[in-house]
Amino acid sequence: MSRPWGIEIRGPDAAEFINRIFTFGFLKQPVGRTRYAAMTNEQGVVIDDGVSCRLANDHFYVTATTSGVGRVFQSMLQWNAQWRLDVDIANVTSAYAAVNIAGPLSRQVLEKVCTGVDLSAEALPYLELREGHIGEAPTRIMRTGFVGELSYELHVPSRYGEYLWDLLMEAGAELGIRPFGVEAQRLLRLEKGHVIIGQDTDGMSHPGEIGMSWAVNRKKPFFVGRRAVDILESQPAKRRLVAFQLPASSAQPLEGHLVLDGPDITGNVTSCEYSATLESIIGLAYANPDKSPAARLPSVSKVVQKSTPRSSSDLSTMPRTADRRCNHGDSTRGSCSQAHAALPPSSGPLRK
Amino acid sequence: MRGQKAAGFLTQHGYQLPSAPNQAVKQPDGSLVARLSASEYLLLGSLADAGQRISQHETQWPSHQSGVYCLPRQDTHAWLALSGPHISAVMAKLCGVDMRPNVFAPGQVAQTAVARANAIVINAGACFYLLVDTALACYFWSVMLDAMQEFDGQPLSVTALQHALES
Repeated sequence: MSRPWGIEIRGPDAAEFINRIFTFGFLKQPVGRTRYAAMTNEQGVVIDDGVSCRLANDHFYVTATTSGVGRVFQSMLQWNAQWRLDVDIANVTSAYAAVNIAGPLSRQVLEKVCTGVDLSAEALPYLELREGHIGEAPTRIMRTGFVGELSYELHVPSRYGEYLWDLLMEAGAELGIRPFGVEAQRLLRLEKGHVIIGQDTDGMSHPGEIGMSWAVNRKKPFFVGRRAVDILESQPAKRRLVAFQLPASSAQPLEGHLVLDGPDITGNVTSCEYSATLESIIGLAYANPDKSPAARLPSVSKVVQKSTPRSSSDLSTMPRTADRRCNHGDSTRGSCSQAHAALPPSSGPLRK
Repeated sequence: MRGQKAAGFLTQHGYQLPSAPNQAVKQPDGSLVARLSASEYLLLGSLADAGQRISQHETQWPSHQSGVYCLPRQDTHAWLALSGPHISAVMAKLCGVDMRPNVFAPGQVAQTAVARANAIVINAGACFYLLVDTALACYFWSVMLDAMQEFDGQPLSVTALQHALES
């Protein structure tokens, strides 16, 4: 049980403010809908991501990475000191507790305790958001998630956090509900190929490099970092973040290990885990883009094992899921502040 | 509550407001309004009604309207009261701001660091109010108990505090 790293933007200029801060387009974001929100700095480097939730025409609730919310909040205040837009910017991280309930039976559990919201797939489709009650707790219900399952994020005033957890565990007991933790969540996001900002990015990563050009709106005139992103993406790519898959029997690369193309260093491993579902080692790594089409790692590349006597493994490629937007925005290196309850998973290696 | 029209809104609803930031005004019903900036006001409920009046505002007032924005402080802050003859001495162990009575008078507010944590300290007259992030509540509680140990300090229930302040 914990806090969902939130910032509220309210006021007549709220949409304009969000539109300037994040790379996507938000002016036409419908009320009751969430949208992936990536943030670049003035150098065009991706520095944070999260989800923008539009609660009203003049009211946005934006999530940021767990460790990054303070930085994002300060950055927002700093920018608006220049822009002078008519908005109120409030860091409400402490005000909310969040639980992510995931799994094919999660809707069934929620239906037992939720009032005021139709949870059917038609009424609350993927990426939509509603306000209702779970038991007595006023709740923001988002059909988003980080784990590639049918998933709901439930955000309640923090005074209801423990109450919400107990209610869900009780309601889901007969369906086999179980808590799941950060490590499980991190593996599940890797299976679906979702990038964690700060883990899979560094101080040089721009949107095109990490396969996030889709999250950049080219039609709007401005966002923070727009000019730098345009310049960076007009240059030949120097590296690209790709997904890889290794046989279970191979040595498992560690995060930070180098990716070699012959004698040349072309990148490094950013995430790597063994996936029991896929029965193989999977990960993300930067690699030479010249020898690989998008999302492909050149077969000649090697991962250098630091702790073993230069044992190396050929890398094969793994498709990253096409739609990586079901992100709840948690991108903390090594920890996620949300609480999670999971139901038995569906079959299939890469679930959505 | 904050915003360009927050002062007008609160005045309309019968609150007496401090004339400058970092000041607090006790209300006739025992609640208190602290002014945290030019346009931000913190409302603290009265012990007499267990905060009912403020709780009602939370449900009855809109979360925001033009120039007035409510902030969810009930969920973000832990609120402790420090009373007794050694308040200033205890605070001197925890905070770099001089909080002796002749310097930090009733009605004054300090937004500062206490025990290395961001805190709002309000001299409410009979006691000091301390507000910290809820995540720090347990830490802060233990810090306070430790700091007042040498003065034979003891924790009080809310009811006991109410009686102490009334007497």
